[in-house]
Amino acid sequence: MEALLKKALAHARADYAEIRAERQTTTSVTYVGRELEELSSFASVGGCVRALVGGGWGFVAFNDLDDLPRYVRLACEQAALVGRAASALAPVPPAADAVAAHVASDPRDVPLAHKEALCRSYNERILRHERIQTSSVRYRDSWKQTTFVSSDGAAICEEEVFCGASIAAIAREGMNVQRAHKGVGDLRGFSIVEGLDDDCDRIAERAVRLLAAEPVRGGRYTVIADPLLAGVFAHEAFGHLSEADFVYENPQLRAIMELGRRFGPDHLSIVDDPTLEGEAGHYRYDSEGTPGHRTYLLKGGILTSRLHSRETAAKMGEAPTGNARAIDYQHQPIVRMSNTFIEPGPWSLDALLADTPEGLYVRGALGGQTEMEMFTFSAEEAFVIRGGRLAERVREVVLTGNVFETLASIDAVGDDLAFYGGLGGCGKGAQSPLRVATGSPHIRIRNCLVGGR
Amino acid sequence: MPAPSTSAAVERILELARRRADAAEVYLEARESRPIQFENNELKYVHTKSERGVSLRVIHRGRLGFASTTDLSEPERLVARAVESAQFGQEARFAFPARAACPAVEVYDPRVAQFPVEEGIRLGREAIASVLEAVPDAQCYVEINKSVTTQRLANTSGLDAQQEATGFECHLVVLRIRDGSMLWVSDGDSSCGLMADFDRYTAKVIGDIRRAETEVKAPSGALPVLFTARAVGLLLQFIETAVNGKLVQKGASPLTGRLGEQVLDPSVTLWDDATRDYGDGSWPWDAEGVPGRRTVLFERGVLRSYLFDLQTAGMLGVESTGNADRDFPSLPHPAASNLVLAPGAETFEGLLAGIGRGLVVDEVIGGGQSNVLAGEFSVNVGLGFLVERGELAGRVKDCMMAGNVFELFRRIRGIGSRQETHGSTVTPPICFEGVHVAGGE
Repeated sequence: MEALLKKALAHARADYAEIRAERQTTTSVTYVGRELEELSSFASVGGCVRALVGGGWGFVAFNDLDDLPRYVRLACEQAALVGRAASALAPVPPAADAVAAHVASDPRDVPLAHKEALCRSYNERILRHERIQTSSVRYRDSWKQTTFVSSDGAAICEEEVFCGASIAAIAREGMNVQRAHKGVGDLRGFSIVEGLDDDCDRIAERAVRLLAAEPVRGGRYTVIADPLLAGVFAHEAFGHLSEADFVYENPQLRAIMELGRRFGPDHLSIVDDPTLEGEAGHYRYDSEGTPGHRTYLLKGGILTSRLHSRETAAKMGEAPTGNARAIDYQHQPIVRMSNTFIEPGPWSLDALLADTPEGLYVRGALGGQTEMEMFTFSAEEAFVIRGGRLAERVREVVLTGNVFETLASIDAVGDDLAFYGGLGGCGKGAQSPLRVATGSPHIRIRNCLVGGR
Repeated sequence: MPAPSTSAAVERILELARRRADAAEVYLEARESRPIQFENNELKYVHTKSERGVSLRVIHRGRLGFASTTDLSEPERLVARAVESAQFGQEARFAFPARAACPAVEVYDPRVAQFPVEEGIRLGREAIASVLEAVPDAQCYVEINKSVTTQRLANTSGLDAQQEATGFECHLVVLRIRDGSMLWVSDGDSSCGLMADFDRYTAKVIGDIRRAETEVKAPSGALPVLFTARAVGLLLQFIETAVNGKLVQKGASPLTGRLGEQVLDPSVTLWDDATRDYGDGSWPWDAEGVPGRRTVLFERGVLRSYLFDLQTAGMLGVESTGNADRDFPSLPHPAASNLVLAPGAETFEGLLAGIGRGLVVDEVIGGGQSNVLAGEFSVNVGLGFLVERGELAGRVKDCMMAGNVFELFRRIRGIGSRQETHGSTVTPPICFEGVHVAGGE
């Protein structure tokens, strides 16, 4: 494969060119309600050529590897249409490496019948709860091998094995429908999806309890967020602003996201680190062949660094960070996060609660979205805090605000850092889902705007 | 047209599957797309994506099996994987359909297929120049994407259908940062036909930027809110989910078992229509070969139908409504084609003039994160304006809006008389009573 790709690149008329070729197999099992909705397998081969001419990129994706020289030519022609300046790529020593996946239990060795039976047992466990209307259990494993060669001389073959599951319970009473869910998924192998029986009970009970919860009253609250929700916040609200492609050609944003500027209190540090093996956002090399490493985005509240591709690093005069990632061969690499987390602080959850006379305790994330400085993210579960204790459950809790004001309002950071992956992932541009992990300890945010009735 | 080798692969797979399974269906999808993208006022890239894959669905001993691949060189393995999965698969509640007469629906526009890259680059440059002339500190993003998709569907009941469809999308997005405050405005179209009215998009975004120059504190409370046609699309997504036959079959939809009931305000008539010429969601036949049609969902607020594919219809003992959708790597599932909401009698200006104190909302952030099944939404107002005594008083920021879509559609103050097409949604603007707004006030 490598020799074939190198040969095709030899004739590229470009300042820089690369080819990524991928082989992938995926197995999926889906139960929805009583029925096995899907039990399927997917196999794919495909690749892409990316060429840089005069600062402009051309990109061609394909399934058919037979016609490589034509795709290389087409990519170079398209790049020439775009390019009107000098090409700039931060130098990265070209790697020659082969990276094998390390998993304790490879899902490809597990019989299909066993995967189906495991999903069925989770599904039955959820459905046996009273007032549970329906359920969903989704399982997916995939094996992927990426071969990368570049005109700089890089030749990398990296393998990954992903496995995960998402289980959901839906309770209904008339027009009142409530959902609770739990997701797991990372690069550790099949064991991550085993032993979720208690989680099935917990989500079923939670969905039923949500039926009786009142919608939260909109307004400003002191909020304690659990590690899952706080990690999503760090990723969505701050992480995306640290992606250099948002900033590097935009002078106004560049002025806001100035390195050395204070964005949070001394006790707040946010890190992106693809080297954490086993976590959902792990990789050795990004999609441009740059080795990944730990990057402090915020250190002691100060903006310390941002995430880069080779192009954004060159254009901003900063060092590449190995964060150029593509979800697959149909897409070009863009600046993305990997495993992004808030570093732990001194507070235990008990101490945090005891120190909070009134507020909201929010857990889990149904989703999140940002539009530059504005973010919204919705909690899966929430409780009123009264007199330093958890009181009644509330629902439909959506947090929103200005990220800079919110970061400055984080006045306490917990000691219980945890990471979360899952079947979903991050979406940016047309590329979704990209496997990432989010992490955080519990955090407390003062004066946070919550939407509601 | 797919390459001869691709056509041969479809026939080979069907032939092999016929021997190994009781019934089979092969679906091939081949798409070539050519996106052009401008970022921060400059041409950023031109891409070509050539994508093709095939999936095989079998019914064996009464059960469904499924597998898909982009590798056409090993049809035996694809067939073996599909047949293996049929051991455990769901009970099939339908038979693959035979050939049927389909409505004439235009989904191929030769002007799209022939649309040159250079023309797209010219349109993008001109649009950016006119925005910058009016707003020199704007950052413009333009995407123009054309595609040609070939689908072929063949089954062991004798159906062998093929069609080519074009797709054209263009979007203009403008970011303006002023005094540390960010404003995003956008407009665009997507259709099977050539739609590239950049004069309209630039006028819309420049108008929005002007209107947003005054910022005011967002109000709080239960207020009348006028949703523009584009913003109504967000609310219709919730209704689309609730009429999805799969969710109805699971009992997860709040509309389960409510056919014939007055669910929404009598002013609301909503239908699904796969037969609109050049509609973004149109199809002469759906992804299982069932003819596309027009299905009334709500007639004067009364629930009349759900949307089904073959399997979900079979499970409920009804007919498919011709609403199966699929990408080649996944099984068919019920989905709306184009949703059309009937116009009302009022002008947008008339609706606005009737608001003493409330909001006009054109764009929201965070639509899909709330309890979609129950119709609960809670969103940040991305582009919205305070209305005082019937007039726009300025842009609101830091403002959340929450409510239940089914309740809102029973509290309609007025429906506009002019429909707009936004992708696969055709709707007029609607003014609702008593939307919960949480702002800084």
